[in-house]
Amino acid sequence: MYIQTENLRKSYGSGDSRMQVLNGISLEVEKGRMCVILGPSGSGKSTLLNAVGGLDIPDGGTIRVGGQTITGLSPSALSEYRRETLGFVFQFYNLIPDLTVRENIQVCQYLSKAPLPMEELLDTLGLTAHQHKFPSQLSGGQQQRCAIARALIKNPALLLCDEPTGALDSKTAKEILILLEEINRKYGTTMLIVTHNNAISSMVHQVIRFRDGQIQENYANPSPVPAAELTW
Amino acid sequence: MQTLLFRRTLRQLKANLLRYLALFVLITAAMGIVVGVVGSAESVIHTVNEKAGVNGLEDGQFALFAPLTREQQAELEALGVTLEECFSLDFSMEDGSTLRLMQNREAINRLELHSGRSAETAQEIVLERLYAAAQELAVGAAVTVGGQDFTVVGTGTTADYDLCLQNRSDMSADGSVFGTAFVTKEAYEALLAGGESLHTQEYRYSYRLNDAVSQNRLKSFLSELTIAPEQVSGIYIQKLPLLLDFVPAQDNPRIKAANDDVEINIRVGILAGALVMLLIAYVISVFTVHSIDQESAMIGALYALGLKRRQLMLHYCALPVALCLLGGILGTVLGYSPFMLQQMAGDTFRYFSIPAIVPFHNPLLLLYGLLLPPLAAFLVSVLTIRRRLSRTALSLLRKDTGNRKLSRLSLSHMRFTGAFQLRQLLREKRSCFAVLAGIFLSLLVLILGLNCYVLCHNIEINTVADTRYEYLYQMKYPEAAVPEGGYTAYIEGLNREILGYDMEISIIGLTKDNPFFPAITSQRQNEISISSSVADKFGLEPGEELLLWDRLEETVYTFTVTEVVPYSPGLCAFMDIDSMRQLFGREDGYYNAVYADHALNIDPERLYAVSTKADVEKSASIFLTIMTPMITTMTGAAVLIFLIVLYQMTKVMIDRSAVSISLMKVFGYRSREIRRLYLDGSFLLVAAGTLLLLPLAKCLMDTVYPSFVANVACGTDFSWPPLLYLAVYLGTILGYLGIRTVLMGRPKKTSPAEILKNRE
Repeated sequence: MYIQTENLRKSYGSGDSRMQVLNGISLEVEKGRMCVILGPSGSGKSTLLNAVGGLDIPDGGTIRVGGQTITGLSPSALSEYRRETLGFVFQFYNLIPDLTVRENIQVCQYLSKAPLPMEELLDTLGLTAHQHKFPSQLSGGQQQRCAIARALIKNPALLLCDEPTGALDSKTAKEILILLEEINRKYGTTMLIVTHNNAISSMVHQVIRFRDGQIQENYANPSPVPAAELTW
Repeated sequence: MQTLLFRRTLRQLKANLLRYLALFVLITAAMGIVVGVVGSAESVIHTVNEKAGVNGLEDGQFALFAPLTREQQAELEALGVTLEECFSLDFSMEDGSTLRLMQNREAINRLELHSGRSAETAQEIVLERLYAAAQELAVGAAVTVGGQDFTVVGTGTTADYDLCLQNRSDMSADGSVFGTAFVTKEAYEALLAGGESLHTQEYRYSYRLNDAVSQNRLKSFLSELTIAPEQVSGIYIQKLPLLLDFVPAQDNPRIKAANDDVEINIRVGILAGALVMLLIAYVISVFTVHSIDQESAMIGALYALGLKRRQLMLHYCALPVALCLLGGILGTVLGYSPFMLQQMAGDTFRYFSIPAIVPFHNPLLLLYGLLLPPLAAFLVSVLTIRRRLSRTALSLLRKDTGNRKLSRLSLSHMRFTGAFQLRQLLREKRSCFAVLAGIFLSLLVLILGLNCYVLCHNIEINTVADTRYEYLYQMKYPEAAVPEGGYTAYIEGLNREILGYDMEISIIGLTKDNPFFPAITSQRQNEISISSSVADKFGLEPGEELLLWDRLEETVYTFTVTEVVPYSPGLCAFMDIDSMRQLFGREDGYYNAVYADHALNIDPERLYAVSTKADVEKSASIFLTIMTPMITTMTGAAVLIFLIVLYQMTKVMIDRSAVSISLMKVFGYRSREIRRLYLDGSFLLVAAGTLLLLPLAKCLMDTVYPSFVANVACGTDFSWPPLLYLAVYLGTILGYLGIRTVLMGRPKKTSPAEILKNRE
């Protein structure tokens, strides 16, 4: 298994306002698979993603990614882990506004000893014509493509996507999903996608449904539907 | 609504207490120093003027070869002129200093007592207060002058020796070298009869014109008076006008010299205060802009809910204005405090022989201190945030910062790291501007202090090196035979104006064999070799014309500068002695000064004054002693401005990049790489900025600095040794690196999870 969590627990607040957001989460995801985590707001799905990404420290339990236990690592070791292993895609892109598309991608290219070819990636993501534009000159879809390109340039083994289509209209969202599907196929990137969108569950290899900090459902999808055929 | 916003302002203050406290300290210190400097200068001027009026300051003075006859005095009184005899005798004291004895004055330049009382008996003496202090002589002390014993009954000052120079052309005054003293008529006559004085009695009169006659009319009258040669035994000249010297008060460097010295402090202080306040206001406005950018969506929401721009403008201006108002009030109170007056006017009081300074509170300065800081804060805040708050509710909600022409610069040809650093600087252009302005302003203040140090140091070193004679005898009645072992010279004092100050230049006619001065090539009557101090002071070069004015003869002399010779004591120029005699109509062999490397046996009756190398050296060192507190204050102020401004602006740059730094941490950037991307750019800015601004600030200060010392009879050599440039540069860099080290903890502490808060 590429991702393994065991009895993961996390709570926020204290006393009466204490909230258990992860309550004994144990799951596994195979390498090269696309896995979607579904659930309503506050169910703990983003907390899990952040814990796997080393951004949030769980109160208990263990997380192993690619054989490496990341729980208990120091901040600098976590930083190295993110550097070597992960790519992040956020709902609101988090592009640096005063860097061009190309420069935003270079931010992560700079970190990798063997980055993917920039021109090929720009071409794959349809950004070649926009590479010298600034984020504010792009549409939402183009900005998310840029964010994906930034995450992919260092060729990460694991791509963590937090609501990657949450800020996009359905047509643009579908384009992004097609892109993620193509990347998974082309580069074999393992993907953990957090979303509200139930429709996405039919295009991935594994579906995990969260409710109140616990796994309500966890199943494999033997025959994923191509993203182009999704409707919602 | 305004009450709610006010509460929020208080919370903001509480949340950023240290930041605002540092700025408050800077405002208070800046206004305290400015009000202190300007207020003390105004107090000095006010005190000197008021006491001059009370004690009957002269309109001028003249010196004669022989005293006026009773008839001549009656004629002058008939013209409406009031006269006061200021005859004097110079005595050498046990410690080598010179004390100039005069009688108590009746009508003009009366003594202003600092302690004790006036001399009333023949055994009592009043000492000029700086001399008394330097010699540690207080009321009740015993002192022997000219072989006669006196008791010090008082110390004081007189308005005609405000700057207590032994000779008007002297470079500086020094209580340990020269002072004045006042005794009764009987005591004076006894001293005169004792014959112990260094030279013959000087027949000097002070006068007041009483609006009855003009300076020119009086001068004409005196110029027509002559004395028969046979009246003076052994005199080595044939025809003798009675008038030796005529100096209206406004041309006398001894009178109101303190006022001349501090007037520049007022102009510089007012300007520096305004610049520092604008800088601080700008620094605060950077914080305000940062807050507005962070709260853009909230502001948009408030606009959407109906809040007016004016209300938010007031809200964002309230804290800077209140902070500056309180800083200004406290600074002004501090500036006007007796402590600050003592600190700021201390140098003046220790150098100039002026009465005890009475605090003077100029209402305009009070308004300046109280209103300038809040006004600067308000204007700068309004100008910087108006455009930001003028955006539509929707663009604020979308955090659209509008015009990005500069940050959209194409840098595709640059390497990633360089491009990132440059974009970071462009994004933080306000902070970068404040950093550069802070560096420039602190460099100006630092250079003001260091130029003062270098000038004083150069004067001290060069004067000692260039003064090669041991004794200078200024003759009143030269003998025909040159004193054995002496080298004769002919000295005339001519004047030239600079920046409103009438400076006396000593023209020295040299014989070819004089070993105490540099060899000169000037041979003709219209040729002159100028000293390096004159060249510096008046900006003269070989080949240029030098116009000098003879105050007594009312004649203008035009010389061609043949060369600049290395000689720095005072303001001197040199001529061939024969050419000079011809030029001034003196007979062959005439001289009025003798230089020697040992003491000569010259009849004191023939002398005006004797000065020694030790006197010159002591006078040269006084500048550094007097100016050290000012140099320290300027250096301290520069360091304070530099540290506070750079710390605050570097901190705000890091704070504004918190989300971006957090994003970098998410990607796996290491601390060293984050520092390279976010802080190395500002390091380069400081390093390159200082490299550019240091020579610029030095050039600017060198241009204006001569006006600060225009009233001092010395050169203006404030050239820095290369090591000093290096020290200032390295000091700046080290200061910045220190700040960076302190602030490096902030990016380190920034959590990668910070990015997760970036939700719309």
